[in-house]
Amino acid sequence: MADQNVPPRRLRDDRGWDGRQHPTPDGYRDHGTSDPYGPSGHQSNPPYPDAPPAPAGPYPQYAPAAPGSAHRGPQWVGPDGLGRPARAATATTGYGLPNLDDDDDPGRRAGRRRALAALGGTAAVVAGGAVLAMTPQVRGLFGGDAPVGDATGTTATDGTPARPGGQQPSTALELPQETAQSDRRSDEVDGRYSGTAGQAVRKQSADLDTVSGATATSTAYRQSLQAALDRAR
Amino acid sequence: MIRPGLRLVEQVMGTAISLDLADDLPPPRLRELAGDVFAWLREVDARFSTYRADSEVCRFDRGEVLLSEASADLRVVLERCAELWGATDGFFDVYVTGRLDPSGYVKGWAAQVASDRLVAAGAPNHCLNAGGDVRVRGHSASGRPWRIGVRHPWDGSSACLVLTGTDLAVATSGVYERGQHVLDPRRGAPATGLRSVTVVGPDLGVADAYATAAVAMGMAGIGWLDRLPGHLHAVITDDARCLHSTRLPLLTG
Repeated sequence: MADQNVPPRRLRDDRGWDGRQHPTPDGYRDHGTSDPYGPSGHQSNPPYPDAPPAPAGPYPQYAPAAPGSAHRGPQWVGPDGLGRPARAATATTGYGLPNLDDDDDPGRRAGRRRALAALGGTAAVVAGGAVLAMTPQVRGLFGGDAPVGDATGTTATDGTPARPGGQQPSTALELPQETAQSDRRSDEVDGRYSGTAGQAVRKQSADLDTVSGATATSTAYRQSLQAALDRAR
Repeated sequence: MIRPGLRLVEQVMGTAISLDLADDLPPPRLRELAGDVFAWLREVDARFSTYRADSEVCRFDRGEVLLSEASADLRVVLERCAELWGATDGFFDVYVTGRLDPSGYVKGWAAQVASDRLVAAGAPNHCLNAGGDVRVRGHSASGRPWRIGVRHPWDGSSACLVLTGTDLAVATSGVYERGQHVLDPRRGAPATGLRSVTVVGPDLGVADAYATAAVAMGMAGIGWLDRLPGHLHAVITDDARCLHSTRLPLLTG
């Protein structure tokens, strides 16, 4: 029920980008300085004294509300009841996303862009060279391969088109091809752990201590690798 | 050369329990420890089996035993199962068949308790395999960390992955051994998508429940396992793909 205390969504909020920035980055209106929910240092005055007044947009709900006027539409309801009227945001020079298109002074912008391009190119060449020069071991030192979470490794199929899952018994699964070690391990597993049961027992009893698998019935246990390991002792 | 320790297999809980005690203790002491382990497991089977009408679980399910009259072990198990029901988003459900059946947790829990007791009794190097759910501690009798194979889902005589470690609980759930027996509690139908799920963690009962829940989730279980804190996993899908945690302690070299 606590969710009912959030301000209702405005019109057009569910639309895509309509070419007009939201008055505030979070999509909500600014509150007055005395409003307990408004940022205290957040003045709604235009930061530039000479900025032109906000143009009256096509959206009447964004128009500056006359002080003391009865507001219509949704209002902020806080724990103290109806809050202060949300002050209208100044449309273009307000607190929206920064306007990156400084269309005035084209010469300066072009120069800056050229400088950035040159700098970026140099950085890319240096970084690329560094990456190429790094061996996997060195790259490991940089922690680039360290898993952030408990990520699942990449996958390797075991002849998916040739054998649909579960149709025929497969001799061995390939291991995920994450590292060179996994690749090598895959061959090793194939070579050592495939074959007839007798070979598997002989080869594996020296290597494996136990086997984890789905719970087997007593009958299935007798044919299992675990039983072979138990007998080998 | 005769290795120290003691290795025993016994049929309890409808499956085979393999115990490998690797500590270099006097043989009578080892037999006493092993006897305690199997006595505990038989006791758990007598009280928690759903195949015995006189077990405590069945009597509790029929309402003949109130929760307040139940043993402390049963209350612990029911409480853990309720927690796991929440932690798995309802996919680990002891009531999925309509009757109370905590077997998916009890087997791993019983083995975990037995392993804890072995450590407390002075046998910190052992491996207990309860029907495919493995708890290893310390080192094997040959002095190296334990090596645990993960059964190949299509070939029971081989392993598809080999894990190694000195303190691991490895639980595997799969649909290859007893048919499509894992039910998706939301649909009431057998779960499909994952053929084998292995979960590695600190507690065998929890790992077993997580593995069973992931099988019940189907393919969505892979993402769920990925976000599971404190546990590692290896998944083999129905189309024979193998996916596993990047930090899974695989035996290399």
